[in-house]
Amino acid sequence: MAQYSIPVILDIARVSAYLISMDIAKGSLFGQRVDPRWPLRLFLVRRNVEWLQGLDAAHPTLRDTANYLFDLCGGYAARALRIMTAAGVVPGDGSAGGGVVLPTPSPASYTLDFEYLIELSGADFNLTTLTEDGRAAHYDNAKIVGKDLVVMAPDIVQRSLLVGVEWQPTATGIEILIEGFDAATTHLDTRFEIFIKNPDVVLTPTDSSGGSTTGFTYTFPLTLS
Amino acid sequence: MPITASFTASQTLGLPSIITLTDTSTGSDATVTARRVYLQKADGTYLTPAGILTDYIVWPLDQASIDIDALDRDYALNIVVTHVTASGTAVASAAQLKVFAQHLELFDYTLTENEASDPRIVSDTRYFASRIELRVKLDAAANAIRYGNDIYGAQAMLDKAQFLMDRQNLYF
Repeated sequence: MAQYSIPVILDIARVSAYLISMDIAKGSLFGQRVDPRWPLRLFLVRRNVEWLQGLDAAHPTLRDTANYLFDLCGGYAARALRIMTAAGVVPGDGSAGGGVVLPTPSPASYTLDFEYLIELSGADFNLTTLTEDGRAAHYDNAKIVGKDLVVMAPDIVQRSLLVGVEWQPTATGIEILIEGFDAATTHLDTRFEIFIKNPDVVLTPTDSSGGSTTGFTYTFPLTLS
Repeated sequence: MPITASFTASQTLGLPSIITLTDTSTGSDATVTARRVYLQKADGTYLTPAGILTDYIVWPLDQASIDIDALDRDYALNIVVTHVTASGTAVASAAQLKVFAQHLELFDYTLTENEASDPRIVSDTRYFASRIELRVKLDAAANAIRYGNDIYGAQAMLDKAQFLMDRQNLYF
């Protein structure tokens, strides 16, 4: 069975580490938590392999250690290979054994008519339509109206904001409910990330009596179950 | 053409106590009769192989390279090679700050080998944090020299890493 050369495994580990790190950063979006130590474990082992590779590429233990590094990448190795292939970093660098180039998806590119992630700051909020107590807390964007959202404010709290408690959907976008939040003054530079989880799902908030549409049960303020 | 001293310093994998110096000097000087190697530690003292009572190691002129077996542990060293006359007068010299960390790197590598054999060790209370600390200290030692020419900082990092290795039954 062909096996990847050690320089390719090192590249796979580098790419896998950033992929894992990205998934950790977005961890709350996915059902499965990613071990936050995973990229660090990859880093530690990768540094060992790099060190020995630099000194003695034929060292008898190097292959086993590199294989362990590859194993540590888990399912991310395949994603890393796909990225490396797309970037022109051909797995299998001519050394003995070579590698296996995973087939690229067909078609090679997709045209997306939706966004998964919208990044904004306080300055993007509606500064003219204020809340009853005079705060700028509305963000209006037709793309997110009625969508299944996750709202994050990493400058405020390192988790997704609680729907119905810390934010709620409005007819034109969302409203931040966090006490004291005011995009016009104290939170002008506060970063927000709005993830559209299921672009095809349209939620239509109606009233507090609740209802059901497209498989979701909701109340207003919106809570999903 | 006057002599311009220069040299390279390296280690061989698996021989962490030995430094190999190779003379890359150019030019010549008929008055030079010997070379001296000074391995100065961060505290200003000199490192020498067992049995040598001077601060320096004599490097005979007829040897293009010399193996010096002096590293009982890892050190950041200021290596000075001096070309001297018969009376000991220095004619030319060259110096390099170097970190020799093969003891610790080999130890870290062994930890990975052990981990590959039994990945459950990652769950041990102190293991993971200690490995991170060891790696950070090793990289910091190298960076202290590479970016800061800071032999004291480099040795301090090596000392902290050595502390972990000396107490491996506690930390790993």
